[in-house]
Amino acid sequence: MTDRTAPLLEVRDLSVSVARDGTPTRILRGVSYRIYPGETLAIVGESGSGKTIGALSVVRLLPPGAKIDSGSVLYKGKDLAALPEEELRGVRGAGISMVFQEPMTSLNPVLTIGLQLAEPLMEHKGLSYSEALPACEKLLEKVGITDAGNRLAQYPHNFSGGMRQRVMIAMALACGPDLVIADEPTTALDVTVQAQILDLVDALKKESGLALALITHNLGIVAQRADYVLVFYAGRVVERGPAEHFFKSPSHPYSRALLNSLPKMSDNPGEPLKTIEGLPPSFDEDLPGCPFAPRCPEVFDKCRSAEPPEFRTGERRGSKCWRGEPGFKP
Amino acid sequence: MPVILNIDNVTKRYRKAGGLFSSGGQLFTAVDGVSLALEKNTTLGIVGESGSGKTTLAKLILGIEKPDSGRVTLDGRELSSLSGAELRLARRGAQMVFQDPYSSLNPRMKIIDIVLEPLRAAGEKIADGEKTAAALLERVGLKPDALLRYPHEFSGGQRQRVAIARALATGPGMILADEPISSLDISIQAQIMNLLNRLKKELGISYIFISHDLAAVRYLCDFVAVMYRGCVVEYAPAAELFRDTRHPYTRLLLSAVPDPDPARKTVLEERRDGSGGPGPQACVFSDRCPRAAEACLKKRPDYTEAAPGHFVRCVRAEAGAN
Ligand SMILES: Nc1ncnc2c1ncn2[C@@H]1O[C@H](COP(=O)(O)OP(=O)(O)OP(=O)(O)O)[C@@H](O)[C@H]1O
Ligand SMILES: Nc1ncnc2c1ncn2[C@@H]1O[C@H](COP(=O)(O)OP(=O)(O)OP(=O)(O)O)[C@@H](O)[C@H]1O
Ligand SMILES: [Mg+2]
Ligand SMILES: [Mg+2]
Repeated sequence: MTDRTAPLLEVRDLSVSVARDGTPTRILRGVSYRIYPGETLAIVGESGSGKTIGALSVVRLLPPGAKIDSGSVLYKGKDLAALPEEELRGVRGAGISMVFQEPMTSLNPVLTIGLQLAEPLMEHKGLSYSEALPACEKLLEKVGITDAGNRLAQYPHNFSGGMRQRVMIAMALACGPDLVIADEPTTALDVTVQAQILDLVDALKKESGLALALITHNLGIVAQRADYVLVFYAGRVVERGPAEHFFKSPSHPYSRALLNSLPKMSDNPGEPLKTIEGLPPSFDEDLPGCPFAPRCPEVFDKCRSAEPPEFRTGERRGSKCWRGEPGFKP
Repeated sequence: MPVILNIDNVTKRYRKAGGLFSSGGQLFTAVDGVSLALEKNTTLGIVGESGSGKTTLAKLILGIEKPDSGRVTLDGRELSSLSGAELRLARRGAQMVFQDPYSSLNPRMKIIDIVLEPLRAAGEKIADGEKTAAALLERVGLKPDALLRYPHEFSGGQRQRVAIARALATGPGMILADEPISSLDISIQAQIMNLLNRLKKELGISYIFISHDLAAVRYLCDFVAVMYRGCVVEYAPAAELFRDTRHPYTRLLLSAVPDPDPARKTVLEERRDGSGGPGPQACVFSDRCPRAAEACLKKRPDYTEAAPGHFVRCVRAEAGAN
C-alpha cells in the first residue's frame, strides 16, 4: 500500500520560458504545488495561462524552444527536472502518464488503434503484440467502446472524436500508473460517457491510490470530482486550495469572475452571459503589479505597482491578491 | 417559417473493421434514417452519445460525405445531386466552424488569407482584400491590426473568432459549429456564445450547434435534436425538451450533467450497461433502457409527434403515456 500522507509529486517554484523569435519569453513563473496519492487535483484558468506548458514540463515533454529555467519536480525521491533523459523515459507512460490536449494530433493516423494501444504495454511491461492484445481489448471496453475486438483493427479516422479521446485515456491507464496528468481529457465526450470514465478513475484512486492532475475548463467536473484546485492566470498559480473552498469562498477576484461567467442550466436564454472584460496581459510585456489588475473589478492603487506574493488563507490554501494581506482593510 | 436546410431520411453506412484494403466486412450504420429541418434564423442544437453520428451528419450536410440513401436539401438545392462547380457554389451557403481552433487554422497563413480563403475557394474575385477581411474581423470584434499576423500569435478564443470570421466570409445562410467552445475557457466561451447570438440577430443566420455542453445548448438553441446510435430519438423546442423530457436516453443525459455546485452531488438516472447492443429489430436504446419492455425488443418504435412539435422515438410516447 502506498503512503497516502506523503506527496506523490511536488513541484517547487517552477519557471519555464519559450523562445519566440529568438528571445526567451517567461511563460511559467514560480509554480508550486503538491499532489498526494489518491487525490484529484484540478487545474483551471484562463486560455493561454500556461496550464498545458505546466503539465508538459512535469515529464519534460516541452515543445521546441521551451525550457525549464529553474525549479524542481520531485517524484519518488528524484528530481525529474534534472533526471537524465533515459531514466525519464522509464517514468513516462509507466509511473506518470499523460493524456494530451489534442487527441486528433497525438494519435498516429497510419497505425491501427490496436498497435498504438499496445505500445506502452510492449515498452514498459515487455509484452509482445499478441500478448498485449487481450489487455488492449479490455482497456477499450473499460472506456466504454463496444465491439472492442473489431475496433482494434481500425484506424484513428474510423473513430469519432470522443472515441479517439477515450483511446488516449485507455493508453494512459495501460501500465497502471501512480499519476495521470490529463489535459482536457473529456471535452469530446457526452456526459454519460464522461461520468463512466471519471467513475473508472475514481475506482482506481480508491483501489491503488492513483492520483489525477486534471486540466479542465469544465467547472461541473471540478465540483463533482476534484479534491484540490489550482487556478492559473498569466503563468502563475493565483489561487490554490481544497475544492469546496474554491466554490464556496473563492479568495482571488479572478476565481470569482471565472465562476460568474459560467452558464447555468437556470440561466435565461435571452440575456447575454457575463464575461471578463479585457484581455490577459501579453507574456512579452513585463508590467509591474498584479497581472490581473487591468481587468480586476476590485483593483486598488497597490495592485498596479507591486505584484502580490502568496498570502495563506488557511490550511493548504493561498491566494496571490493584496486583499489577502494580513491587516488589509477595504 | 421558411426552411433553410432539410434532411430527409438520410442514412450513412461505413465498413466495420478491416482497414484500407479489405472490401468485404459488415457495414456499420453511422447515421440511420435521420430527418430534420432547420428554419431560417434559428439555432438547432445536436446533442447525444459520443459516436452517435453527429459529426457524420455534419459532413453529410456540407456535402463532404454522400448519403447512402435519403436527401439533404440546402436552400432549395439537393446536395447529393451536385458536383464540381455546382457543389462548390451550394457549399457557399453553409460554412463550418470546427472544434479545435488550434489545428483548424493553417499556421503558415496570415489571418487575412485565412479569412478570405472561402471566397477564393468559391472562385470569387476580391477587389479589396484588406478591406473585406477587416470588415469581417470587425464583425467578430477583432481589430484590423490582426490581418498580417499568424494564428500562433493569438489565444484560443481569438483564434475561434478568426474561424468564425472565416465562416462568415461567403455570407452563408447557415453555420455549422461542431463543438466550437469546449476547448476554450469559460469566460471566452461566454464571449463566443454572445457573439453567435449577436450575429444571428444582425445577419439573420441559422446555426447547427453540435455540443456535449447541455447548459450551453439550452442557452443558445431554439430547437434540440438528441441522437443515439445514429438515430434522432427526441426533437423539440429547446425550452420544452428540458422541461418536458420524454425519451429515457435524454433523461439519462440530463441527469449526468455534472453540477458546478459541489454541495449538489450529481446522481445518474438508473441505467443498465448495454452489452452486445440491441437486436436489429429492437429500439436502439433498449439494451440500456431502465424501463425497456417486451415491446421494445420486438419492434423499433416510430418517430412520433408526442406533443405539438415534440417528436420522440419511444413506445411510451407512442402510447401517449409517460
Ligand atoms: N510551442 C509554443 N511556442 C511558443 N509559444 C507557446 C508554445 N506553446 C504555448 N505557447 C504559449 O505559452 C502560453 C501558455 O500556453 P498553454 O498552452 O500552456 O496555455 P493553456 O493554459 O494550456 O491554455 P488553453 O486553456 O487554451 O489550453 C501561451 O501564451 C502560448 O501562446
Ligand atoms: N470514416 C469512417 N470509417 C468508419 N467508421 C466511421 C468513419 N467515420 C465515422 N465512423 C463511425 O461512425 C460512428 C459515428 O461517428 P461520428 O464521428 O459521426 O460520431 P459523433 O456523434 O460525432 O461522436 P463524438 O461526439 O464522439 O464526436 C462512429 O462509430 C465512428 O466509429
Ligand atoms: Mg492547454
Ligand atoms: Mg464528433
